[in-house]
Amino acid sequence: MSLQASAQLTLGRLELEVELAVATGELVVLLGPNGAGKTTLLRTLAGLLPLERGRVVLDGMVLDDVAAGEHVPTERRPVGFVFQDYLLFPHLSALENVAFGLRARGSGRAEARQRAAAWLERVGLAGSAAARPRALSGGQAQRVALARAMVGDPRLLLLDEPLAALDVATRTDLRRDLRRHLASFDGTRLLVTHDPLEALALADRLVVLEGGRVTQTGSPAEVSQRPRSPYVAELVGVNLYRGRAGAAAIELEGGGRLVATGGHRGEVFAAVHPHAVALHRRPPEGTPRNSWPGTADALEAVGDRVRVRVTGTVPIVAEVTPAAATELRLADGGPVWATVKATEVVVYPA
Amino acid sequence: MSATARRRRAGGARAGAPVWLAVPAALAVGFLAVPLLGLLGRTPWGSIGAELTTPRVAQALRLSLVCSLGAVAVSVLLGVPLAFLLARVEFPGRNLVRALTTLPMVLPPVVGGVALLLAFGRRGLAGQWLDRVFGITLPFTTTGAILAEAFVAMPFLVITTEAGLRAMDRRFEDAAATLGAGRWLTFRRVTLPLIAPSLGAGIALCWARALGEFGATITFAGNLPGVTQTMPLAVYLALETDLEAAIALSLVLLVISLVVLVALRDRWFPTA
Repeated sequence: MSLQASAQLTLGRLELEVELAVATGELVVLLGPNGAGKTTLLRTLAGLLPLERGRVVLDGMVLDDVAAGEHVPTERRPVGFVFQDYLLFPHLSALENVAFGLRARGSGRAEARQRAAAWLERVGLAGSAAARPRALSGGQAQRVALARAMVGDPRLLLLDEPLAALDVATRTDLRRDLRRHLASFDGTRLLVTHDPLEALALADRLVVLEGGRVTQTGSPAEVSQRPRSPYVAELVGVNLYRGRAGAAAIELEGGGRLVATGGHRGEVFAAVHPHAVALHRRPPEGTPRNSWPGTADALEAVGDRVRVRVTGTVPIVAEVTPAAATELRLADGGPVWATVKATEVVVYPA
Repeated sequence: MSATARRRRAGGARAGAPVWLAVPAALAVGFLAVPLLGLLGRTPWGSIGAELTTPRVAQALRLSLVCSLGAVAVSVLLGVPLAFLLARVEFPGRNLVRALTTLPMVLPPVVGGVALLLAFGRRGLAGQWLDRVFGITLPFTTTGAILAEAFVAMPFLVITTEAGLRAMDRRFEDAAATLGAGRWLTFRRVTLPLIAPSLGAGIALCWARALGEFGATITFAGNLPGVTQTMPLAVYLALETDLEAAIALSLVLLVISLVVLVALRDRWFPTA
């Protein structure tokens, strides 16, 4: 493992307490709601915020060790930082912005300018070298910020919401570019976002941060298939329940029960994809294993499906075809029956 | 015109000032502007060139320039670091220090002059020691005039610069640190350029104040032509003997003030 961090600090209402390990060459995405402490964690790793307790080791070099009284100041850490709104120096040209770090670390003027120019070319901005940041578009500024953070060959690259300041159209293009540039970087990479799409597209591994704590970590596929918190479930659009699995069924925490296959026992999560939920106006015939009454509440078009929220003992979100929504007159609301096949309930230990 | 537009227009008129406020307001404008117009009216436009080049006036002009620029230099050298400490470093008694260092802004300048005399005069607190150890005498010297002007003008620079430092986005300094810049490099290459507008405004205000300094200068440095007799002092003296020279010098000071005002207009009077 190339970055090992345990960080504890209190900042206003945020109580951050995180253990994090990132391997060399791994791209870890920190995902979490606003105020979860993502930016705070990045700032502590960069040495911009002092830890109250903890230890940060990068490639065997101790950056912070509160117990031993060690703290390497920011300017001596081999760390590159892309800030959320980039923070390009407004009084310097794009080229001077990129060359700034090289100059600060002792390169000669000519060499620094040459290396900076090479990086600007690499991010496709050779023509904007003389431009001041205010003359750059959001996408261009983002690429200058990336070049500025990477030109000094840091061992750890920290990116704080690198795409958040961009409009949707530019974001898609830049996400692809960012992916390419990040792939060319051989150090440790840690990227912060609150955008699940960005997280799933970029991450080797996701770390979900909520209220200053890590609530889940895993590959994008694992996290999206087996969410472990309501926040993640909402992000990936899955119905998530917690309960106790017995011999016959799972008794849910909020009341109600779910029948699943697989024979789990004890405290479990149960995830149901909205696609797997069928809605009926009348009690279903035959005996589906899971069926319960509720009230159709809110309708929302999502792509070519209609998302329906059903309230009741077991609240659930269903996605049905527009045809079904019309046929069942779901727009009128009212009582419905929801059914889910036992094989569609994904169960995993809590 | 639509009904809404009419209403908006009526609302706009009602939001304006009561008519009877216009009378004292007009009086104020007259009171502030008429003396300036009077000065312009009495200016000997034909001979102003000759007036400004008489040895006595030219000497006062030159001395004023030297003293005021010297005072600005002292203020920048000492005042910018002070502003930085006041803005950035929490230390006990910070508010007291800020109050003390800005006191000269509201202190009657002549009181400042007396205080300077008691501190830096030959028998003064610090003056005694300066005299004995270094053989330096300040009162009634050009250096003394520079110090008197700096004493009165530096607070303007400190206050403006401190405000600029507080308003600046400090995360730029964080960005510089992540790029390997130590504190001193960050201060020179990032902080100073970013607060340049505030610093510039502070310097302009400080210079204008130093240029017009009268009370502290005449009390502490005296009124010696060529040594401490700056323009304001020369104007005062010339009033007795040579009114035209006094007017010519006053006009120069007025023009400089106007230039400073225009240069700072976006800062102090943003056009709505």
